[in-house]
Amino acid sequence: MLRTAGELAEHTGARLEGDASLRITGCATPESAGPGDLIYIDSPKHLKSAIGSKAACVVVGDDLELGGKLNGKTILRVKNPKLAYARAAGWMFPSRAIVRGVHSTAVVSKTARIGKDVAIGAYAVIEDDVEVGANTQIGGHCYVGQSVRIGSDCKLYPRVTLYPEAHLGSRVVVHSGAVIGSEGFGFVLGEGGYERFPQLGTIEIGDDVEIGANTTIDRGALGPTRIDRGVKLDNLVHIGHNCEIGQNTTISAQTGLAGSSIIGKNSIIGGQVGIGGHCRLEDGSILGSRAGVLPGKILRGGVPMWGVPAQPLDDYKEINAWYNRLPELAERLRKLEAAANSK
Amino acid sequence: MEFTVKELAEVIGAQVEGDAQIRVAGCASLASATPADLVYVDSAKNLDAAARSRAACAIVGPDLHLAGKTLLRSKNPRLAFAKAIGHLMPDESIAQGIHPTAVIAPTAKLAEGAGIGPYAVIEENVEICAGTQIGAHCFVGRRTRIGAGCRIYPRVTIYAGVSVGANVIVHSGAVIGSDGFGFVPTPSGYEKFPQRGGVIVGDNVEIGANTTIDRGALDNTRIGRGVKLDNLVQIAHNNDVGENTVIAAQAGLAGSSAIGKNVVIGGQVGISDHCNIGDGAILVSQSGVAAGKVIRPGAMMFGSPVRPMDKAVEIIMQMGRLPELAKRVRRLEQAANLE
Repeated sequence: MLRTAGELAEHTGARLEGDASLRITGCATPESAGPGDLIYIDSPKHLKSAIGSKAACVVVGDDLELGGKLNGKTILRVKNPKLAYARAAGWMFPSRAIVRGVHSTAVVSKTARIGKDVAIGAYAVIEDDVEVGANTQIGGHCYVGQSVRIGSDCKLYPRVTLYPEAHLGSRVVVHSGAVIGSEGFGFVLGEGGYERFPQLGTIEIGDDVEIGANTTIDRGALGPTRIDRGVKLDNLVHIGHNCEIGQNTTISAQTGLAGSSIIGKNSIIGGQVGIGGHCRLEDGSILGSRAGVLPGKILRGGVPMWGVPAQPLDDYKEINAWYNRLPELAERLRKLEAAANSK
Repeated sequence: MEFTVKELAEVIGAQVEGDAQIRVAGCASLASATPADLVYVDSAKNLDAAARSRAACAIVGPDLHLAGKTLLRSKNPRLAFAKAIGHLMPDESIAQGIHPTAVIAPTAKLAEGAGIGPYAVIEENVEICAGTQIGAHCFVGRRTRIGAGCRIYPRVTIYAGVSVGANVIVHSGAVIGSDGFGFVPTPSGYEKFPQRGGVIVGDNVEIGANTTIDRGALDNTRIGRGVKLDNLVQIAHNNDVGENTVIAAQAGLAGSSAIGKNVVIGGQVGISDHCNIGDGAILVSQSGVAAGKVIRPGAMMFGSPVRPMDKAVEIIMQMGRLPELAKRVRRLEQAANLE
């Protein structure tokens, strides 16, 4: 939707320097932008690309010294340029509806309670006693099991599977192929092999959670698995039974959590990380990509941890530097031995 | 369902101590149990929590003392509890009867009591045996056979020519029988090596959500009886996984490895092609096994590349001391004037 620079400044709380009536038609990177596009820079090193850009309007940080280099462009000054840009782009281009209305091929149980303006795509299946809040969109081929509760304004992209009794808050976004509430990996060794330990627990997904494509979240064995408000999970993440993920924690692609681990609020977990069972990560934990956390470990928050087994980043860097020099170290030892022998 | 403690004791093979006429209607954790729930205690450290639990009946191990409750004494309390749950709270149905929207080929053979959910597609010459339930949106390709008593959750894809045993559980999003990753390099790019083998899944196997099992290139990919695969596991073409082996989430097997019986493979383990993992071996989480490697039966291995556990642990300890080791070398050099 077309906006003027002045309208965008008002919407994002930015201070405008330049032409308030400038018409903005789109968003782009500095390199690909046309004159009608909005761009942003959040670091002095990107100033050069903004100077060379065709864009006529740039979002920049309050404290960035421009020295007249962007003269001729309209500037939107804000504290956090990337956040302001995200909000401006979201305002100009509201995300497209996955689906509108209830498709004639959707199979919706008579006992399901479907809220106002809910949309359900082609061939979706909604089982008995499901509850769906207002404005939620459920894409084609989604499966929503018995007694599932979904809040309002959620978006389930096509081909999401919710097992029976899963609870989703409001404004939750789930990408295609994700499976929520599947039975956890719990077995007991009997005489003739493994016997299933029934997985009777629940699964609670808070408001504003986003769940990536083909990610799997198992239900609890007896108690709940909990994903708290604002958590963001990337694609192909695995969350084992009875884990609890605290508010606003982010987990990148292909990371896996074995069962019963508790992750604090505002933690950042990289890609391909493995976390053993019954770990406790305090609030604000940071785990670098490919880190491995041994079962039962307790990690302090605020200290970036790296490697297998995970250790403080500074230690890891020092160890890694010497690891690279192991051949040299071995050679030096050999010389010492030769010198000792020749004496 | 509701049973007396006496009835349950017979089902799970436990001895009653206390009031055998108490009625039990469900199962729960110690913390969340109501008086009508059954709980279990398999370790002395949980006895305090058990004493505080509202449950009136507990399954306990041989040497545990717990006052004020009816006890079901069992050698393996966790196993007895699992059996009790199966009895008290039977699995909910995935699909009952044949849904009118399911697309079923006229040549498919469906045994009596098989359930097929909405929009499931069952192709030509498929055979589905008695009591098997196939959830909504599942796809079962031509000539595939699925044994009796299976639970196939919604949106499972089983390609053509796959054989699934009896009492198999497959979770949503799993794909069984997809083409293996086989290509022949040519000057103009890779050419596909046709994947014409099948997949044979034994009885009592469980396959996790979004797990993928590729069909063999020429021969079959085999998953032995009683194998348990967690979520997001990748089993490539021509692997042979032995009976009662368990593989945790996000582990991946490249092609043509032979995995023995009763092997335990941790999460995120990577096993390259043509490996041979002996019976009862344990591969600890995040281990990496190089191509063609042979692991002895019963060995416990860790690291990437994998080493015996004790050696891997020692190396990890020494890694932490590498900066100190470097300092020691430097001091020796200074002493020897070797700089």
